[in-house]
Amino acid sequence: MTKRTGKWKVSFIFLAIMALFVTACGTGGGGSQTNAGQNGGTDNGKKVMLKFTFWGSPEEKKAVESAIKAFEEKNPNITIDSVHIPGTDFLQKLNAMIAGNEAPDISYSAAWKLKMGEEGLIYNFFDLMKDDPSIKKEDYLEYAWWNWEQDKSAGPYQASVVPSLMYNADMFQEAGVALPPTKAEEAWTWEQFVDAAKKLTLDRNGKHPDDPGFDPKNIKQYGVKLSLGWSSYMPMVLSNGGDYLTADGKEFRLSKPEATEALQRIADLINVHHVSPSPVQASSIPAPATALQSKKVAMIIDGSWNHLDLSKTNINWGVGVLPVIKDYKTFFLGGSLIIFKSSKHPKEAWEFSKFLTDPQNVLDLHQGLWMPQLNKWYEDPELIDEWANEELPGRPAGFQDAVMRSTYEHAEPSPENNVKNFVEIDAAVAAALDQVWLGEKTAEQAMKEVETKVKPLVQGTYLK
Amino acid sequence: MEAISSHTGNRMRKKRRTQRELYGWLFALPAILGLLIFTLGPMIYSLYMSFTDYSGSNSPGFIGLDNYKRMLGGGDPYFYKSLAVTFYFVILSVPTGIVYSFLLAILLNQNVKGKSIFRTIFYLPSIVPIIAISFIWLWLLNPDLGLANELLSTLGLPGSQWIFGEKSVVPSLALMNLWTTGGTMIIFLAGLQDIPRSLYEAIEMDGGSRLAKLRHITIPMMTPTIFFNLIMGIINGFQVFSQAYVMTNGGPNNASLFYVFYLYREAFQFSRMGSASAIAWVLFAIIMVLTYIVFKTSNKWVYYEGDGAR
Repeated sequence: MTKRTGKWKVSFIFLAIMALFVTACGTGGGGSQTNAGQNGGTDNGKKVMLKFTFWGSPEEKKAVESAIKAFEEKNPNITIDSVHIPGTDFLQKLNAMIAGNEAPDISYSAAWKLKMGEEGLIYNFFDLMKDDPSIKKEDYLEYAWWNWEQDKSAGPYQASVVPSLMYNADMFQEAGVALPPTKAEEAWTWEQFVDAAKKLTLDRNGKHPDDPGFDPKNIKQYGVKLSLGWSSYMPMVLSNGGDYLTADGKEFRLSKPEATEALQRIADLINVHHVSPSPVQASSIPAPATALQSKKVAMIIDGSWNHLDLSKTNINWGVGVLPVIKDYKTFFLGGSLIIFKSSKHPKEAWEFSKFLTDPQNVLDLHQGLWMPQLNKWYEDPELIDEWANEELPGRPAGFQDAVMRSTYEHAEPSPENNVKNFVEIDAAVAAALDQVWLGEKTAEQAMKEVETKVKPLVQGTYLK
Repeated sequence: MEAISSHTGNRMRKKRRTQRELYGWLFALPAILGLLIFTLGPMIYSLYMSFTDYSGSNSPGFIGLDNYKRMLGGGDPYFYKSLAVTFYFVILSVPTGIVYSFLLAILLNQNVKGKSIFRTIFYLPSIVPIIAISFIWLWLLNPDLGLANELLSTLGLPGSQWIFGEKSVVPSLALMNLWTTGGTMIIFLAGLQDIPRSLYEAIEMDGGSRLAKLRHITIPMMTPTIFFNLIMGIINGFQVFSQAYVMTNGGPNNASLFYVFYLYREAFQFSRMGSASAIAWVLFAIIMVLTYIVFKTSNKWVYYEGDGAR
């Protein structure tokens, strides 16, 4: 008898444990089953479900979701299953999805997409474009392409942003300084720029940097703040005739005199002229829009995506052209939409990507956060009026000259989608530049040192 | 007859033993399965990945020892740098952490009024998430507005660049680490309460001072606890990550490029999962070796009650 109950107990416990595991695994299996069901349904030719992964601020999320709704209304047979993933975790989550055979059909993407292209995970945009007479390569901005080979592309920018100079006009008035010019031909020379920045810089006793007794340790108001990332310093490097790599793409060029001179000038804003915060001082300065609003900084050189935040403040802000060292040169930057080869519905995904990259369908975002990537939106006055009308809250007076035309007419490729291995080279360069901004090394020394480090990574360019 | 009954008794006992063994296994099964499926399986998989060029999205191709060669042979400019930075952090943070929490535990073991309140206060930071702690210290250590420099300047001392200086960033993070040693402190406190009163009484009879108590009773009796905390400290120290991720991004100029942060960057910024797996396994080996060394030295200085040795 005792033996009997013993056996029963054993089998009961065993069963209970097995049940635990079976149910635990079962939920996972069940999840994938429903998914297969959805996909299966589409094969019957009626309903198509596209999985779409994206990131972005709450603002952007709202606009993208309303664009999705519009798309679904226009294409009643397609439903978009949109998954919003915060930018910092994006690649991690996406990789997990790919490894689990749950890759999305279409997704936002950053520089890592090029590797996915090389590995054959995503469609070549040019192949998809061949079958669609409605789009041509020439429609897009010349350097808007994310290519992993000459004729293989992960797509054009879905929208673009640009380096931009933003300012608080009241602070200029108080200091009696003329506002930054808005036409590229009239751009401030570096000396004029430094001069204006000095007049806009005040220590806690109200003294300017050139005044006797100026206290550089206690600056209350800075003339200018640069983001100190590549998107801020590269326009200056280009303007001085330098570039990221040499024209043949074989050598690192940030260590050459034209580039180091430009970098040194930026460092001098911090350590010689005391008109700009060092990385240490910048750590206590809030985000660009708030910094201008709280009068901590008079001018900011950072991405044009800040226009959206600025339009939500009640300050008298404006935009000007960037200062120049020699020529006016700048670039567009942006991400692109990628379509996965694992998608069962590439045609529908293609339609969706076309819809989402048409500024008309996400016009809200193009009126403050983004800029178009199609040439006609920079040339057709009617279209310009839709997104760049200076009556719009996100488009201050002078926007069309200072941001739109100045960039469109003087655009070079952005290193991000031109230089091979850019993410890794930039990690090394940014670390070396830390010392330059802190005044511990000259730009020439730091860039010479980093040159050997990045040498194996310098493997040419994609666009130019 | 007797022989037979003893024989059957043996069999019965044997049977009962196998049954009991079975029970044992059954009760341990969830834990064993959990270990196999969620720990050992992924570990073996990552070991395999470390010999491939897996990028996170491709189908991994076998490349032999290339990842290890590249890392150890200097092909990767960050490996030795991150190793040096992490060792530096461990050397600074582990001894200071142990001494600090040990002294704190002794203080909190005194019979003072409101001692449970003090214990709570000193333990509290340990339950704050490290990300929140990092943000708090980001402000405390701000060179311009931070409380730390403010305090130094009222004392007439020069301020520091803290996490913004290449030389001061790791010491700053080690200092911050002291704040979160509540867990270690609790373990010390438990150890202190285990020391038999009779030993202290004996020394009081002999007229020993407080210092003698500390030297001849408290510290020797606490060596197993110190030993445990030392090993845990080393293991945790090598895995430091969040501070670099939240506060410094590995900077300035890679001065806080901690090993695990370097691993993270290799995996999720440079998309080299294979190489990141190799990095992880090298860390595993380093921690194993160090733990082994500490274990080896332990019989020289760790005293176990009732051991008779020493």
